[in-house]
Amino acid sequence: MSVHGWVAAAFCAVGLFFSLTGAIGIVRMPDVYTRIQCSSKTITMGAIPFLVALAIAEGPLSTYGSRALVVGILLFIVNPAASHAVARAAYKTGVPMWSGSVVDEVQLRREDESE
Amino acid sequence: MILRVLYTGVWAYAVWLVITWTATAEQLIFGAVLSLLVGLALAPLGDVAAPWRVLDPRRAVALATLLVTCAVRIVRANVSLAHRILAPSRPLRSGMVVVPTTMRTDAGIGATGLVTSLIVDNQIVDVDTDRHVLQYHAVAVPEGDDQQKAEQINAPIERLLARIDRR
Repeated sequence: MSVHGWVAAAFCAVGLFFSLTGAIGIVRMPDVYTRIQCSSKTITMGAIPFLVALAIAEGPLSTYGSRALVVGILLFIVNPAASHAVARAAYKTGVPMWSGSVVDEVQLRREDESE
Repeated sequence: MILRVLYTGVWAYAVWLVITWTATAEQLIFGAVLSLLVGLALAPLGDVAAPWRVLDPRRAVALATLLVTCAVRIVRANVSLAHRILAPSRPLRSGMVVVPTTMRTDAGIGATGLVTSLIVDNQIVDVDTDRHVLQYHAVAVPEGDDQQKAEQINAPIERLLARIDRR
């Protein structure tokens, strides 16, 4: 295999590892908010290394490289926006955090204001 | 309005060139016409940054600094979160935190929310534009007062974004 191939394989391995840990995290984390953060992880360090690997293997100035760039930029915008929408909806509808969470400053501020 | 159409059209044409990656006359002309139509359709929605603003050297340096800073923080946060997921004891200190923001425009707050949420330690949940605060869910709630928390979540990113956004 060429040097390009090895570097691309290394990026694929990184993407695979973080996608796997993200998937395990979605199952293992205790509440919806921490699970949302695990799902973000499968994009930022899961999908992006695969796109970098594609650009390296096929050449950054190829059709594949240019489309990987566009898909990467879209993922970087859509992923946090979608996570924000889900997290905000969950909080507004009263989905509780897990019992081990250390603070809810929004609730504390509400209580301070009502006193 | 004409400038908005021009700016939006140039951005759309740049996307067209990257997506098609084909330098034939038909593709280039069709892309130019389509970009002009996109510019006309989207210009009424609001202000658009001129594409050549990124060519200003100081702004380009700030953008490069932001990209490097984000890349480093994204990798560090992902490794840290992977450790929290895989560790048998599941070491979490999660919670909702409220931090002050220096951003005052919709674009500034939006960009801050997107960039800070890419760093997986924190996820933006809500915005209070009257009190100028942001609500985050953090997997490791930072210690200290509001300002110290902001320094660990959004303040460094906001300073870099302000350098890019300056007129």
